[in-house]
Amino acid sequence: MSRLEVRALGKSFGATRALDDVTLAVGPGEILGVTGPSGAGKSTLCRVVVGIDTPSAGEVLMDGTSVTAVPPERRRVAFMFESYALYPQLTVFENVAFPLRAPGARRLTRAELTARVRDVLALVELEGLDGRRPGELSGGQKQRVALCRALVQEPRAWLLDEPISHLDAKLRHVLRGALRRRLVRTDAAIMWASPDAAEALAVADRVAVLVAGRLQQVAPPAEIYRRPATVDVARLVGDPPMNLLEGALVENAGAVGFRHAAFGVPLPPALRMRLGANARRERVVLGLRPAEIRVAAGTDGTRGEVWVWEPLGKHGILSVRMGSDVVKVKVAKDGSWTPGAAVALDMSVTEPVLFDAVTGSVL
Amino acid sequence: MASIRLAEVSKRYGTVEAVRDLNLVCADGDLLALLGPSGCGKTSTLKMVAGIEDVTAGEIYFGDRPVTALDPAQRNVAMVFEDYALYPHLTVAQNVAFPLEIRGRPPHEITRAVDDVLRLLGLETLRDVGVRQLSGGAQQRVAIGRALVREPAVILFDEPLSHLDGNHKVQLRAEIKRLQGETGVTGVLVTHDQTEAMAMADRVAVMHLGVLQQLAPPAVLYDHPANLFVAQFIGEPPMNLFAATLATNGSTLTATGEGWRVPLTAEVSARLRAVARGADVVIGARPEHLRLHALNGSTGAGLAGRVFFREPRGDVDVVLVKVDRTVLAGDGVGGRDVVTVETPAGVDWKEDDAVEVTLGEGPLHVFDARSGLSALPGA
Repeated sequence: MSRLEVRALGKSFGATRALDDVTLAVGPGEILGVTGPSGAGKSTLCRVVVGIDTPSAGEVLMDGTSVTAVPPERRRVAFMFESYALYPQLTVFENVAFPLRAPGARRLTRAELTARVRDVLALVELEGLDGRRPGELSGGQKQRVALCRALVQEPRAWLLDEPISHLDAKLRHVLRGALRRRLVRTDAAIMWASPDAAEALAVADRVAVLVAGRLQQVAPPAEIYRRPATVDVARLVGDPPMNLLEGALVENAGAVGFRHAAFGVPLPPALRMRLGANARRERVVLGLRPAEIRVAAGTDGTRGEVWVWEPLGKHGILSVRMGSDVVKVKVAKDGSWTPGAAVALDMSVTEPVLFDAVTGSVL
Repeated sequence: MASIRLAEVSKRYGTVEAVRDLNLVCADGDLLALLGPSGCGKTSTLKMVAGIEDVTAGEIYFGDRPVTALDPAQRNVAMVFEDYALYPHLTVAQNVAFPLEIRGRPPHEITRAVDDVLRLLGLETLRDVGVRQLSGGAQQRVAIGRALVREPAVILFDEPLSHLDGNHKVQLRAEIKRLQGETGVTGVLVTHDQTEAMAMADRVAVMHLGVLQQLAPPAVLYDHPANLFVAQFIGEPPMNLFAATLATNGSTLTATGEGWRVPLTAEVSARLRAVARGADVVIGARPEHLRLHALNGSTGAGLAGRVFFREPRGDVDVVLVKVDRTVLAGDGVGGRDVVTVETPAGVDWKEDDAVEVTLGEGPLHVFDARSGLSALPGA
């Protein structure tokens, strides 16, 4: 049973803080997704945990014991490099078998070793390619070999840095499931980093969102979807992400409303309750999910102007100009929308999210 | 402003045929997307339209004017690249002004044109900022401004969003579409991302191995893919493809596969009359057109299986179901027994739950198994 922790982790490169006071814990058989935009510190976090980079501050612990000073090869952490780092002169089989033959690895019989390697190659659909060299493989195949080299091990923790980002859609979907099923049945702690928030939310038990080296939120996927902790998290989640509109909270006869420069929206009573006695706020950001806004019949709603119509096949995204903002709405596929046409939206959604406009934190 | 027409255009690099007998039309003021995986010929096509690459055979027209023999400057095309290609030491306004300055336009004219473009792009407040200080999305907007400022006949976008993070991509994709529509400049977009092509283009040319597969508006590509390649390439998650045969059932047809059967509607049956009875076909069903049911003892109405994986996406769940049989056609990538269903969020499907997948509630696609062509062409 392995537990991976990082405490108050910091990493600076010159004046740049790649990681700033990051504290996380991952339990046995748990997948912690790590996501954030490029430059957020995802790869740096992986490299510090595996021991390739030393932290500027804080500690890395395995099962409660600090491993910050332990060299990478003795941490028993399997790392999949984003850059693959395959040995060009070795075959696919030998690349995957490499960690099993490393000094300190548990001795396996030849038959056991072959079975282990074949098993992981089959999992990622690379059967039959074991004799090839990396130079004879496509980018996606190389990525799968690098993934196998991590999977074949029996580590205390797996750190997977963008493990399936370069694969075709169909295989990527199936591998999300296949990898998750396999990994959570082990006793190891798993960190799965991806700039694609949808992927992190799909595979993880909990997701850590990093922005500019700082942890924004650590929560189960459903909670990240429902209650993003900051506007930065809200920007990363959903397709398309939540609309973020700046305005003020106004109170009128016990009811609370959101007032934008171009329109007003009443807020549901539950949200009113949460805000306490004095709900008035000068500067807030209202978060509205594109799927929850409706096009209103006639002109009975908040009026705007069709800005862009994007037909995506199964549904469409309608962008509506309202004052200086553009509001995106997920609508049925068979609409026909002409830029410039008037449209009215019903923005009184049941679950809006409110943020403080200054701090960016959820209210 | 001009329409673009490619007539029987081919491109060979030595013995490699990058583009074969390509016929394409992009109407004046439209945005055409060239979409396909790497090696499909989309970038070669764009370069031939730009005049950066010669054609091996065929003719390219802007309006009625053949431009095949003209160099890029004579064609009056502007390009927007994936890496922006801005002058890093210049400001926003200086970058945008550059194409006019090298043409020796008078200063007052340059100032006015630059101001117009910056206003159009919402970059007024950044005019004197060095482009190095800008985000990727803002840099790409500057690059688009630099392309628009000289009022080109055609603007070419080469993977303009591929260096941007998710949200910036979604924002800029809409902005480019809006700008292109507003300015009315004819545009060609190269992308490997089907969502991008569908969202932005008036018509999409899907290419594969140098050959045009289908040229159609986004909705037609999605609802009526011309062949199995288009069917699998358009849509996310991708369409399920089931191996099946057709049998007559009174006046209508029934599609029968390994362990399942679906009666086809009278309308579809009538249109399939040309396909021989007993023919091997591939039935395509998009994930959102399948239904998922909890299974309490087999009903035999659909495909029994177990939940392999559930991917929550906020408003919907994508559920992969491992069914008891080998039902899928296609290249077998991802297994022949994993069916993808997209279902509204709300039911808490758990791994290994016994379930049943039914087809037939939504539209089905029918392809000839041998040729891969749609047996329901048109629309």
